[in-house]
Amino acid sequence: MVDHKVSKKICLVGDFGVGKTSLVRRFVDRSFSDQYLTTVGVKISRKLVEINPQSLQLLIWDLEGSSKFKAISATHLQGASGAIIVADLSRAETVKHLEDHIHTFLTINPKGMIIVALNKTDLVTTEAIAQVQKMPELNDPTKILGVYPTSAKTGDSVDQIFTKLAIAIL
Amino acid sequence: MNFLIKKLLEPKGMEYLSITKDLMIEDMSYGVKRFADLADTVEIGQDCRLGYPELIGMENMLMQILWGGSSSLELKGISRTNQKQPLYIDLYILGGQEQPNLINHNLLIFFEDVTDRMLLEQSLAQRSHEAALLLSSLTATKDYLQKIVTAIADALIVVTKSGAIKTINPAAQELFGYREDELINQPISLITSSHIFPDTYPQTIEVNCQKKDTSILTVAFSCSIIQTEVAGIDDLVYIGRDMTEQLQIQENLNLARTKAEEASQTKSLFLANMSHEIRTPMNGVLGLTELLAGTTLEPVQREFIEGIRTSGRNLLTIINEILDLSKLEAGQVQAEEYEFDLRDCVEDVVDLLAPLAHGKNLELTCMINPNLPIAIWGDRAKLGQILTNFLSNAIKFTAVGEIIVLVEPDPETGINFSVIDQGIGISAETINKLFTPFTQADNSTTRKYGGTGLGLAICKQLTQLMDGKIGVESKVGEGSRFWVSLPYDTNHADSDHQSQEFRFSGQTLLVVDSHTTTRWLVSTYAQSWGFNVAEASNKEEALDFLAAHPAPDLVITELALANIPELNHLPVIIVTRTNPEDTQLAIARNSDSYFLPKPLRLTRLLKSIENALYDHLPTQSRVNPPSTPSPKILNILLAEDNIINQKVASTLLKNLGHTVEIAANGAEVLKLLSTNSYDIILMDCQMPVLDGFATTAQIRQQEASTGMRTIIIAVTANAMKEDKEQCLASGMDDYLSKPFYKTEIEAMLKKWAKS
Ligand SMILES: Nc1nc2c(ncn2[C@@H]2O[C@H](COP(=O)(O)OP(=O)(O)O)[C@@H](O)[C@H]2O)c(=O)[nH]1
Ligand SMILES: [Mg+2]
Repeated sequence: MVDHKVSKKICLVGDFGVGKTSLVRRFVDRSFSDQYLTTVGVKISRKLVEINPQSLQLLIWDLEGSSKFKAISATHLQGASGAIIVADLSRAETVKHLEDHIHTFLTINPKGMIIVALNKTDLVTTEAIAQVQKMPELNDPTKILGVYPTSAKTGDSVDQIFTKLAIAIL
Repeated sequence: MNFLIKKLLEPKGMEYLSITKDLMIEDMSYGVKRFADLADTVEIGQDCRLGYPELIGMENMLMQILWGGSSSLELKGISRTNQKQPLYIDLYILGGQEQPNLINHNLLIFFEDVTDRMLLEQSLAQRSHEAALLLSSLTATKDYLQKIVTAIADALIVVTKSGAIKTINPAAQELFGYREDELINQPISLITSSHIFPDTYPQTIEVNCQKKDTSILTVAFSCSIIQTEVAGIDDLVYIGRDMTEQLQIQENLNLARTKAEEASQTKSLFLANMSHEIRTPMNGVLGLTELLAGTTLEPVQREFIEGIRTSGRNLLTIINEILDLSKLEAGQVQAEEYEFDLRDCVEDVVDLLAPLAHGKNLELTCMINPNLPIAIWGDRAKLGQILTNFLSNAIKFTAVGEIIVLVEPDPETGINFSVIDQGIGISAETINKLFTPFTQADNSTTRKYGGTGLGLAICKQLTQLMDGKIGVESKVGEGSRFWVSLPYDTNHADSDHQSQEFRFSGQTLLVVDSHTTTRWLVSTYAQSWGFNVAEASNKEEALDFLAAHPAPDLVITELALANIPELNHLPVIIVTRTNPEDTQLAIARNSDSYFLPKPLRLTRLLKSIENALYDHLPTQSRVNPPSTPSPKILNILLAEDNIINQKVASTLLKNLGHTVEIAANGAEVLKLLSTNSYDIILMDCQMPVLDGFATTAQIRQQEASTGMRTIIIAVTANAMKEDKEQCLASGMDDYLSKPFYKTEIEAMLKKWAKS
């Protein structure tokens, strides 16, 4: 179709400040910054993922994070094959909102694939991570491909979540 | 493109694309490439998705517009990062025709530059998000603190400076029985009236608090000030723990201890009383036995009497030991400190027990390191008691051989006293049990040797009382060494001691004795006084010495070797043992030699040496020793209610040549005193009608007007120290404990007859 490559749209969804932009930067630019720069609107990044024998062009939509006052724009989610729903392990409310985000995404893209990233593992204890991973709403295989503790700061499991999602949507 | 649209878009800075149903670019405005992600790919006939990647995935949406399923699509706030400047665009997608048609349908995509708006939005969002993040981390911290406050088991109360309760955790609510809302903003005085709240904040304090149900509890609070930036508004935090239960436990413990102490006092009182009750009849038994022994008896009867006497004395010893131990264990005994003569104390004990040792044909030697000071501060009586115990044990358990009493400096403690024997020894297993009451080495020993096994337990208690150490080393079949080390000061100078040093400098002494220990003892002492000492262990050695050397200034020899004619013209001191054979031999010897009984006492040895050397001086330089006056006949009043004791005592006193009158109680004493006068009154303390103390007090009162003073000696069965003090306090002059022996009473009367 385009450029002889398969292109697929995926979205990063989650509350503001959970590390969506950082995860993309880590995956695409292989860098990280401690500084916080709020994303407004949408930033689209391209990344070619080799999945032998094919390659897949990922169009990664880094969406403006949702807050109390602003929901995620539905049109931005349109046509996405998958999503990485992100929470910040150091802020309990962002974990609580995961379910809403999953629901929103699936309403617009009922066949979309979902991976949950529990980000900022470097800030919390392994016990706290294990406890979040056990939450029943995150253990629904019909909706969720997997739940991964990640850290954009250390790079932990960052490549894995993108690759896993890419394979799933191919 | 319609000219009109161009006119409309231009002033707004908007651009447009027209695309076919295959998403190919068919028309575009001039500046639309500025909004592309990849500008090169924006050409007529190219796929629009190459330059505008946000359209990828939107295909379905676009088709719906194209076919009239929906009217338009807005994509807002797409950011382009390929530019030098930040760029945000909004996309509006519309169908190109009024009515969708199959031949000529297309889509129009309008682009608007919204960078200014988005940058404004960004700075607003940035601020609000940062604030929100800060708040959430603050909240998390606060939650965490709150959780700590809630979770701690101790009661936590935060109080303002003015005494209003600001925070109170669940533990505190439960402790005081209030709900949180009943306490918040209430004065702290609601739960405690203690004035420490809230003005002072000591580190820890125990205060009484009142619960809602008005019951009282004791709470231990630790208090500190919560320092803030703003001076003067610091709150105080109190963390408290209910001590009521702990105090209760403490109180119960105290009660239990008091009870135990009372019980132990009762026990010791009982034992003291019991000993008193037993001592009184014992006095009768022993006294009458003494009298009986003085009458003409058949040999068999004499034997029986001896048996009664020995058993009685043993019984008395046991009673004394039980009494001693029970007083020690009840903590009623204190170690005293006064100056005493170290040599006298040790040698007195050795002297006292020497006849026992010599009776068993045991050599007994006492060696006090001559470098030790003579005057010691401590409790002579208790040291004597320990040594007596050690030594009598040593004699008891040794059948053949010798016993040495050794007094030496102990670099760690002070002075070490050892009693070394060649007795049966003690096995390693039993050695540990030795110092606990009622355990002798084993039961068979008890049967064979007698005794309560209390002696060493008493010694241990006495040693502890004097801050000393006690111990034993032993080998079965070889003997034992019992020792006690006491913290005596050995560093003070002893003038007496120094003056004796070198006083015999240059003189020669020959020691002739087959007993190695005796030779060693004599030469050690003699050398410390400056003598040149030569030793001979038999007659031949002695003769050899006399032949080869000029005549010695003095010879000290054992009795068996004294018959060397070569010694006749020399000053000789003959050492004898206190057994009958030696005494007979000594008496039989026709010589003006000096006799010195074993065990050799340091002072006695010194005195004999002085005398022997003095006797050999020319006669005119001698000084006559004073002669002792013959004992005076005393007129004695015996106050005693027990008829047997009256008989015993009066017979004893009459045998000593004194005149005796008897009073059965204090009243009779006073009556007799109104007509007669006496040299000495022997006053029993416990008598009916008027006891010894009261009687004495009255006598002293009456004497106050006459100016006379009769000697009053207390006689009592209570062998307790307090009694002695009580006697003296009530005006008596001295004290005699029952049962008394002839020698004791004789000495006592002699002492007071002088005055
Ligand atoms: N320690 C740590 N900080 C992270 C991690 N991921 C993101 N951050 C920080 O979290 C803040 C928000 O990150 P960002 O990616 O902008 O979040 P977004 O709003 O979800 O896009 C930034 O200051 C990041 O540096 C992580 O894994 N560990
Ligand atoms: Mg972001």
